[in-house]
Amino acid sequence: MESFALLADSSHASWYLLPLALTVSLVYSATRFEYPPQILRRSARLFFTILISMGALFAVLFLLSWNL
Amino acid sequence: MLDPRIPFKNRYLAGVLAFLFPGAGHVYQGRYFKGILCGVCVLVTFFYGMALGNWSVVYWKKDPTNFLNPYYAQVFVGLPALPSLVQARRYESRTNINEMSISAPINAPFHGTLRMHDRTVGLADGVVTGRIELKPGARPAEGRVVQGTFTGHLDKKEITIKLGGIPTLGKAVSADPDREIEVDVVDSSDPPQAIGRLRGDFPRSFLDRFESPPDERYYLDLHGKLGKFHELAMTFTMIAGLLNILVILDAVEGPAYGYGDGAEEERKAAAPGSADKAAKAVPPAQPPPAEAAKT
Repeated sequence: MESFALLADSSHASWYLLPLALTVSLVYSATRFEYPPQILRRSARLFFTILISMGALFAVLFLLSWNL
Repeated sequence: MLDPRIPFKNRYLAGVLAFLFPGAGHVYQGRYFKGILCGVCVLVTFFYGMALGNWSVVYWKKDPTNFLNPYYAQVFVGLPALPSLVQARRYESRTNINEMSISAPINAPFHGTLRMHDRTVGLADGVVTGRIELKPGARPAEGRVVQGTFTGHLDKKEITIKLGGIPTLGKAVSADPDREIEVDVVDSSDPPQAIGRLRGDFPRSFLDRFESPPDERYYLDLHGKLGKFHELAMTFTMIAGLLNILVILDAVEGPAYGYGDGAEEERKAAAPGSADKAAKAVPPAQPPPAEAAKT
């Protein structure tokens, strides 16, 4: 119990978005196509789309919360 | 229309297998790349979420005040999440209450407090850490009475104390990794007399703990220790379940956008009807103007 609480404390929750975005991209793209190279290409594109979108959202929220 | 290049076999059986174990449906169909990819992604996400939540975020517990139960999403991971239903029945069972006897010997690490009634034996009150050993009473007339010892440390001093009397144990089935126990500290006389009280926790068995519903007290304690990571852990397990819904649909119906190698577009272009369509699309040649013909 203590080790998980310490692990949680030592890292920012936003970093957990990366593996989550990766698995969502891979599984979603795998269910759209059958051809492996196409699956990997589209999942890479989706992964970076998710990261850029979330990054933009974080930037907007950061600016809106400036000096609050 | 199902793509003829994809070996669906019995696609409904593949769907059931995909529900029971992520990726198994695709492996049954011979689609090994997708089976392994989806299986690894879904299972790693699910178990990582469980580990992040101290293995206490996947359980079934009816809450009439909230119809948005996370288990509705988690259940789609299949066999890894289904034990929750069995554990929920065991948790709600009438036999899952605080107990005043032990049915099997206990030999486990222990952490708790010692309170002495009799201070003449040379033991002070304090926090103890060590090992507890208990077994049911030897004589038939003793009924629920236990016998045993505690060996460990009291304020960095090594101690061994005799235990006896009627113990009090917390519920057997719960998500809390520690099970409460209280037992008398006894002297060496016959019959043994209680001279103090040992109260603390020992580890709950895996089968009683895995995917069991948490008590209110443990739930609040866990939420307090993990904070936002409790919600994050629950989110991971729910997303794993929702992703497996897509995997099940892929096993039954195939990929949503087609094979993906561009062969479909080529086939459509090479089809007999496409040449006529191409000819109709080109406008007919215009006749030369009449003046040019006169000259």
